[in-house]
Amino acid sequence: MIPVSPLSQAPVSTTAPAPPVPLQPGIAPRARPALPKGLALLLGLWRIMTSNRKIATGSAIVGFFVLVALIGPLFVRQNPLTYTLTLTQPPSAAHWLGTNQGGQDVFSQLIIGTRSSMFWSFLTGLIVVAIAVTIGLVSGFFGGIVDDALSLVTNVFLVIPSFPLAIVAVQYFNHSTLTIALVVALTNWPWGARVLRAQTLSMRNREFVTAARASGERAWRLIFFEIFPNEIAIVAASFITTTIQVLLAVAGLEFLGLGDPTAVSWGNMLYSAYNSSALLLGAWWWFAPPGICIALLGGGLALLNFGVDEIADPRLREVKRRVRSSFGVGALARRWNRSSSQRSQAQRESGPEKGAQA
Amino acid sequence: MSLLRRTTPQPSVSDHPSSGAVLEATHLRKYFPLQQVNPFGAARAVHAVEDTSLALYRGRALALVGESGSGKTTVARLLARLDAPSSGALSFEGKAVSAGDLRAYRSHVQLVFQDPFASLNPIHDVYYHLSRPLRMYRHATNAKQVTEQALELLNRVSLTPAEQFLHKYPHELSGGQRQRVAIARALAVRPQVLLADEPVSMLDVSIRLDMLNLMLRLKDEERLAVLFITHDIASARYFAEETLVMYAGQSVEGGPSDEVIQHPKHPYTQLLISAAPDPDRPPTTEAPPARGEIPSLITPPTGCRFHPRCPHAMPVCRERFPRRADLGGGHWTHCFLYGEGTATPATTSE
Amino acid sequence: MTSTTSAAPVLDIQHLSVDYGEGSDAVRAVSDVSLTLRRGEILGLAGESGSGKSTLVFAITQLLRPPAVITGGEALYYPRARDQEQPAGVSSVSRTSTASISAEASPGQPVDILRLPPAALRAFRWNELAIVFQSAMNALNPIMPIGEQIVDVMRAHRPQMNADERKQRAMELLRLVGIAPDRIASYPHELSGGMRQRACIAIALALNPDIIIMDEPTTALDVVVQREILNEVMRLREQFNFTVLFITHDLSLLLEIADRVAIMYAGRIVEQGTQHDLYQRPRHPYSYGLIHSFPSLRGPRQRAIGIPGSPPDLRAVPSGCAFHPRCPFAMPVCTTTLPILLPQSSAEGVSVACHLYDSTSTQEPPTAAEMGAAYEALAKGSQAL
Repeated sequence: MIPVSPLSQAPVSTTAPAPPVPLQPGIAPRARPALPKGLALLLGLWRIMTSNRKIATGSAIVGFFVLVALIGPLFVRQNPLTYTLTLTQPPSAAHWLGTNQGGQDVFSQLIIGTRSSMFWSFLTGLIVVAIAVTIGLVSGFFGGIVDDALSLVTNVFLVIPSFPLAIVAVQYFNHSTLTIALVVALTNWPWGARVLRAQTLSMRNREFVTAARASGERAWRLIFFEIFPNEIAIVAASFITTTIQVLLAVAGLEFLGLGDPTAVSWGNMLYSAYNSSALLLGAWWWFAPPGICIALLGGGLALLNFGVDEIADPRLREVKRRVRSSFGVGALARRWNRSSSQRSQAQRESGPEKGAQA
Repeated sequence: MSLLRRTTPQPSVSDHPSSGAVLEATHLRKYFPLQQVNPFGAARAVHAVEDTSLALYRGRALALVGESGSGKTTVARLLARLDAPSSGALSFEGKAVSAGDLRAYRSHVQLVFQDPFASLNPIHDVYYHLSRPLRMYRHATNAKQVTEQALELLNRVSLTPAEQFLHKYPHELSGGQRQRVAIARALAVRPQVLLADEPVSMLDVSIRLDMLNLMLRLKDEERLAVLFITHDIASARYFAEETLVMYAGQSVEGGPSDEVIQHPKHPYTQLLISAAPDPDRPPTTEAPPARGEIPSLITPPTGCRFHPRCPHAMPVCRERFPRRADLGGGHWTHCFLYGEGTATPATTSE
Repeated sequence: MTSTTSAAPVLDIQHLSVDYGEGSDAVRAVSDVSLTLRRGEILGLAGESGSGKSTLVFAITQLLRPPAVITGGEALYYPRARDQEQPAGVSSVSRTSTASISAEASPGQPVDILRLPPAALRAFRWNELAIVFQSAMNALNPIMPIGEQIVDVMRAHRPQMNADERKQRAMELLRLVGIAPDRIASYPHELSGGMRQRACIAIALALNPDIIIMDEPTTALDVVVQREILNEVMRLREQFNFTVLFITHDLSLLLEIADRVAIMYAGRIVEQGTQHDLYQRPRHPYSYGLIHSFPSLRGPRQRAIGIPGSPPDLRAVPSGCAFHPRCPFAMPVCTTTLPILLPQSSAEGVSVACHLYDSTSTQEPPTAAEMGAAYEALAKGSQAL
């Protein structure tokens, strides 16, 4: 029931692409107006977000949900928890998504629930990544007994099953979203830690790390300023993947009734829909919207993963200036004229000459 | 083992400065232990460096010549204190280098690496790479000073116009430019000693001389002591006043570059020189003076490690490593063909 | 070294061009290269990064991967006539395989190897043309013993040999290249770098090819091992009389072992000639600069200069002659007009692509001393020193 986060499916390239043939000094690069660094970064981000259909769709979906979570509740006029007398009504003008068995407005529940679900997913994702980064980087960098000890801890947490732990935790503490969020966090960080440890182990012997060490940098600076920035792509991708897993895990635990029954969230909506036999009643408007939202958000995040690589790596950011948006009339025209859509990417990947370069 | 037996500097050529060595290494040894697979077997190790001594002087360059497995990179790492020697001593400006205080040592001794593509962090721009040493060693305390000094450093390594290069990322630079940034980074520390590990072997041929000339100029301007590690004996002759030849972790010959290269005494040096490409030499298909490959450093040959390949090998060569034989004019070698030399202190170790 | 200017051609490359990508963003890696390989000679191809030498080799052997594409030219291979006797020392491995193109083609008629159909290409590869790559560790299959890899080649091209004969031939080949035959069952990682490269040469020799292309075969090796391998190659060449196309960035090496040398810059050949001519009297300023980029082992110890600037980015090749930004003799015409590779009347077999030597130049071409002085002046001016 509780999905295990397979970080191996994060589509991130961990090896550096072959360096493109560099610019010759003296030949000015294509004239670009000098922009302040922040604006340039935003523009770069925008370009990447619209460069690829997958990334564009993903960012649109996630952006939409973020917007709804932030300002949606301002537009909800009805209290989602108010019981009314119009029980189990299909969607109508008064209730856009109908009502549930308690007469509560499903639409307002959905909007309010978006905030809760998104907040807890992202928060838990952040906690997981924070733990994974700390433990992974420290154990990978220092090696030896530190590595042995931390790996032991990681392996122990790796095998702890999250569902039984959730049951125990909510019985022992209280039925709250925080409890299950913590349970999910505690059982999902080991994967990321293992990946980052492996990455760090390989990075720590890279020559630029040795060069920084020979320059006199201290260990903590080596870890956080030399090694970690090179791993941001993996960390970001693992954050997104973890968020998807956590979203599903939290919703799943809530669906099983382990969540806070007074909270409004997608998982709880599914729980009450199940409990009230919405399927038998044919009240599709009760369980379909939260289910679709969960699926859409998860899908959007997965699509966004494709763009993470490029946002994090300045090399890919630079060359990307040649790739134009895939929307619009210009793009259509280009598609008619040219055959391969991967052209620019392939060209970037195979430079003219390898070997000793000037 | 006697560790801190400081030797007097070897008398060298006539223009040898009267001041002492700025960095001196005596009887350095380095073994890298290998993981024990068989708990009852003997402990195995890679015997990377076996009793090497050298001295660096300000404003002069010493070339360390050897092939792969000769231990030259390990020596550089020992001198840069990236690894600790298994035995032997380092002294900086006459004072023994103690185990602690790496930062202070690093402010005097800097290392330039072989691969210009690997030694710069791809995620940081040139400004960052130069600002770190400037800030670490307090040569600059605010951004304005950092920028000023970074631009000055870029000008000194002939990366002009400097403003254009300051915010470039490593992947936007060519190999030669990257190597210049690496040199600038080393200079930002304001060291007295520069260790250059094969600085030009991964660069295009037509720009190598440019880079070597740049380093010569910086050596003269900053009065740096330079250790130039290379496998190319011709560039060793071009760059350095003094040359040291290593084979399989042992130093076999040393002295003024011209002397060592024009009149090589050790059979390995002779082999190296005969094998180096030389368009002036008539072509021949006859085999070079010694066949064979560089030995394994885990189970190296006993005594002189070159003896399995040496055309002049004698039974004593297998038994022990010869003491230093002084050939006059600062030229020395470790070879039984030249006797075991005078009882100079910088020879056998226990 | 054999006299080669009168020998028959074995491979004639005409106006070969290779691009990466297509359309307006294409990068031209090899531009209009014409080269003739004569039977029995060692032709050296020298150049730095971006010169296109490796791309040229991959193009000839049809090993290019997309987006690289051959956009023009041909490579004519002249098969050895069937009545030509095999050189002494060749074992009984005969070339009567029906798939060999020399059996199909009429003797003396050249075949364009760039347009071979797949079956004929397969037969051509290794039977007539073999390649030794730069990194033997990457070229050898790490999970097969080297004997297996040699036998594999024979199994593919000589179906009439039985297992015993193949093994005998493999041991013979190993002995030829200087590896003890008992290493036949060794894996590549058990051999040293030099021995691995020798194993690659043994594989290349397995079918007695006419042409062996060596793409920087000794760059990754130490200088002593390099010398041994080169001696080995020259000895084998004398014994079997195959032709060698030797690609390297180390011009000083070529000047020692090659009969003729061609120098490439930014995808074009800028000078070609005999080794003697090139060394004594380099004509193109780039050739001069390149030869003098190697510090000498003997001779006086003096300050030398390489070539200022760096090899061009192929995405932004300078107009006209690609070398003009670095050339001490650059004239206005060099920035606009591409010089053509023209044979020199003053010396046989020498061709130069430079405006100093064609009809646009009004003065006498510079002497070696003048070139040296011009480079000095350029170096001082560019503050490279």
